[in-house]
Amino acid sequence: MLLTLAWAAQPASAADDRALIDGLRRRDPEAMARLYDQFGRVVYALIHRIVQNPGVAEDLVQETFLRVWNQAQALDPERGSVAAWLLTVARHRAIDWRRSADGKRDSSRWETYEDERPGNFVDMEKVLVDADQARRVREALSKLNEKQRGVIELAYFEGLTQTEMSARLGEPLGTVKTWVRAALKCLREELSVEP
Amino acid sequence: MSCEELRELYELYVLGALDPAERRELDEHLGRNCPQCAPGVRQARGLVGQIALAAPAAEPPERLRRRVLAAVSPDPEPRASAGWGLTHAWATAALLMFIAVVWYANKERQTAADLAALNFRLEQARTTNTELTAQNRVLSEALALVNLPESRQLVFGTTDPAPPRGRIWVHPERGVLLLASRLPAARAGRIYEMWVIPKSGPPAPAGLFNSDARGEATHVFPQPVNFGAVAAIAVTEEPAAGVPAPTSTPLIVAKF
Repeated sequence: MLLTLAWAAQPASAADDRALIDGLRRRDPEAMARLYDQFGRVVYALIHRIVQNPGVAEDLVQETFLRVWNQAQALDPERGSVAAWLLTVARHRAIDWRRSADGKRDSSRWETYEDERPGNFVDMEKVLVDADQARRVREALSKLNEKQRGVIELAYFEGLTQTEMSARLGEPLGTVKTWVRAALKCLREELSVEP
Repeated sequence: MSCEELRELYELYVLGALDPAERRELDEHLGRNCPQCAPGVRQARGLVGQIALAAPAAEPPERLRRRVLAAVSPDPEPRASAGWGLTHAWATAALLMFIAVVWYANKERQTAADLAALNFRLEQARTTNTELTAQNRVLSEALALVNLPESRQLVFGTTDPAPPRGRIWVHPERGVLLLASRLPAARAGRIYEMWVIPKSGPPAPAGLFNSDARGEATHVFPQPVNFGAVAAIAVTEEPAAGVPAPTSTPLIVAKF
């Protein structure tokens, strides 16, 4: 399960981010156009990777941007991270759809939206959405062994819990937890910066 | 578990990969505003968010940009059929509507007018894919809010000689849901703005909305509301971009 580089988008300065959030809070359609131009490709690529269906991906991209549009008033222009929030909303929508399509009745894991409240995405390291950062992520993942990379993919792109991964892979839960722990430790070291 | 032990779970929590018991434990811990774990989870959100950049390249069709922007335009363009995607959105909307109708049918003191309003929204959902997506979102949020025992229901307009009338549900964590009827569309260049009015201090803006051609409106404000500090929920008509403080007499006032 090799991961490949997705796309490249233009980096934005902190001032650009503030202006973007201000525009969204004012419900300025131009701000929505800038938001889509900056993040539309990565949001589509992420959702497409999860649902594997172009038509569904289009619907969910639209739903993602509408959700952000309708809740942007709650995002702090000084402290908020619109990229991290947008990608979280996109991933949740896609995984909810996938789990529902797979017949999993607990597909409402994120229906409460607790995890995607705009207030959760403040005072955090900026999620860079550009080609250099994408390369860093790809390189970090390439340092994982196949098992470690596999469980990270199952968790992130399929939304599986560790117990579900254990059942899917036919491996003991303890083994799965060991792979996950090692993978996350590596990613932390490769990608994290000081808060 | 101690904070040191919980530290190992931050990314798994953000990923949604914890089993329910572990998740509950960290939820409760974060609910106490732990000064170590709260920033730790925020940092984990940044780390986990970056994994999105590993998704393989997939180019969105050009029409998607038009769809997204049309959905937020004051005057959306008519849309063509969306094929399978429309079928999916329709199926999801129909399921949500079914759940909503069952809920309403079993709720005490629920009026026939509410059911009629839902049925009308079902008809509306047939019109465009854009509307379907918005309907899905609003209904999901509405159902999540009104079904909770902590939600408080306010009724407005029943004793007023003139419309509008409707109900407001307020949940301390999930915010406010408004369902209004007989509310004429805002005048040209204007929009309705909801306000959370505290017992003391200025009203806080709680989102913009408009009513449909039938004079019905649904609005969700998904932010926590402090029950102890709120005096009322109100709605005014304001300039289309919204305003930070009300400038007109409220059309709707629901006292807490």
